[in-house]
Amino acid sequence: MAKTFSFDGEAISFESGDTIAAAILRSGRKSLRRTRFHGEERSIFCGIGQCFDCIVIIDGRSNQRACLLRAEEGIQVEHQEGSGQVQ
Amino acid sequence: MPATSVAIIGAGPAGLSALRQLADSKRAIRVEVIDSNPRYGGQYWRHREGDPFPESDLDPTSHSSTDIRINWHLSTSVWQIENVAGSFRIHTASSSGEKSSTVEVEKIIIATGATERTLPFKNWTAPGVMSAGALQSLAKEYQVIPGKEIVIAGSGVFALPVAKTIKEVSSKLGADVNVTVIEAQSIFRWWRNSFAFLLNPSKILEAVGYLFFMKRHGVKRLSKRIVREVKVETGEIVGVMAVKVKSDLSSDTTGEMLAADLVATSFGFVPDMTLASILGLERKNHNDDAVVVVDSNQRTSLKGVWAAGEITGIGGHELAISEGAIAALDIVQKSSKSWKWRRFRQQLFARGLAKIYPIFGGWIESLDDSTILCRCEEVSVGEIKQSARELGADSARTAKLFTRAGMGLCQGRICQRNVKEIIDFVRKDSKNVSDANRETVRPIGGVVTLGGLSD
Ligand SMILES: Cc1cc2nc3c(=O)[nH]c(=O)nc-3n(C[C@H](O)[C@H](O)[C@H](O)COP(=O)(O)OP(=O)(O)OC[C@H]3O[C@@H](n4cnc5c(N)ncnc54)[C@H](O)[C@@H]3O)c2cc1C
Ligand code: FES
Repeated sequence: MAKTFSFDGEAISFESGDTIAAAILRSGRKSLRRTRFHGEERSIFCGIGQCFDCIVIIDGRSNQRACLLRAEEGIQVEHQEGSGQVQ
Repeated sequence: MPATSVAIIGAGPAGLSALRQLADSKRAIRVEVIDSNPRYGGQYWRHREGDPFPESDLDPTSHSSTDIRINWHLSTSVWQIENVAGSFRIHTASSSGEKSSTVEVEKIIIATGATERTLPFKNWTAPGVMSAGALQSLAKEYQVIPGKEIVIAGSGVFALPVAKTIKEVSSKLGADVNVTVIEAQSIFRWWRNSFAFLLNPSKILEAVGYLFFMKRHGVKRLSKRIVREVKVETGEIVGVMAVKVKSDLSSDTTGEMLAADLVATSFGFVPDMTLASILGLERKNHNDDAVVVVDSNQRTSLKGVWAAGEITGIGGHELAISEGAIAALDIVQKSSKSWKWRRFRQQLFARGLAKIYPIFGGWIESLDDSTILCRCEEVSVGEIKQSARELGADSARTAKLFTRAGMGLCQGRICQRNVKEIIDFVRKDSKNVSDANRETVRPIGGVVTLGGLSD
């Protein structure tokens, strides 16, 4: 069976070696977060860990770079709203 | 020679080439290799997990030497370096910022490479607009191509390998993908630098090979144009507005719409000066970039620190390999004559390329004031211009204080260069403000959580 992690509650399957961003984009989804001030949707931009546009919440930790971190079985990834702090 | 310890920061072409020379030297050396990526290879040798390393010669697992001890620190970023009584204490953090650690060495080879240069245009923050490097990495390492109608726009030779990768990977995936390459400069600028190319004939063959490939695979090419706007409808990219530009990148036409659902953009590379500035290494301007000053053996202004690769001047992976080798051979006190001749040729080629693909300020003239410039802090072009006009900002540093541009999580890696050029453009006194040592200062080299620091 394919390995999966969850992204906003939906199962995303991934291959070994995939980053979280690669798996999410392969599934056809684009947006990873929404910005703090203008509420703009964002996705990966530099793809190599430098721009921080791809930040998501992983197992409750905010500001994690989806383009850098590996997909792992069972992790909970969430679309980050603004700074990712719970109001 | 007594035993010594060397940290190689950055395991790209420069760092791995240095590692090879240290390993071949048969000296008793402890080498600490540190890279923020989960795999070694840097930007050039990105490859699919499980595939053989693309350059078997420099594959560290093929070293037979037992004299050196290599300690690997992958997925590990250096964020601070202390110089304590002639030796160095390097502070690192894991990619998630959770775990921190220190490494102590006597010598450092810094080979931190480059960041891709991008220029802003309307809606360049929309999902589906990314750097050409991001697209290259998605396709090459993960076999992901998130579009069917792809436009690669910008300036420089990097669009060619990216277009090729997209075509190769999409045909493997059985996907029908159209690719259009939009180049800001004219192809005829190549003739201007024929001398640099005569000394590097393999490079000419490479370029011709790409042109043939593009023709055979139906990659469309447009030149003397830049993308001014990405059209977005209900959250989806539907096209780009491409305008004709002069060689200074200025334009007075309205342009044409082209179909697109994915836009990759690249205007060459900018040396990553983060650690160089933390170490206080002397920097200078070179082909319009701030670079680390090195002597003929790649020694920097600080004793015990060598620099190699893109941070001493953008020049591609072959130049990075030569420089890494020269630095390592200097450390083990061996001759590097043949490498120096190679380096000379390659530097000449790099200078030629910089002349063919210059980035003049014309792109700023036609930029809409509402366009976001600093992606992290969402600062617009208009706010930067205003800070220069009305608040007296005279550098990227002062503009940052007034507008927060460059203060976000990326610490200005993406916007700083563009902020500087817009300020120079508004003030028209670029000579006064372009001081390489002032412009590229960053307080720390990465992200660390407070929890990670207290570990
Ligand atoms: C996104 C991107 C894609 C590119 N793709 C190509 C290509 O396909 N073909 C081509 O010819 N050229 C490409 N280049 C150009 C590339 O810069 C050179 O060809 C070559 O990789 C330069 O080698 P280098 O060793 O100087 O640097 P790099 O290969 O960039 O290696 C530098 C290494 O340092 C590491 N690093 C940086 N800062 C830190 C830190 N603080 N802590 C720990 N590690 C750190 C980085 O993770 C990186 O692995 C690309 C550049 C970029 C930015
Ligand atoms: S896309 Fe730039 S840091 Fe992830």
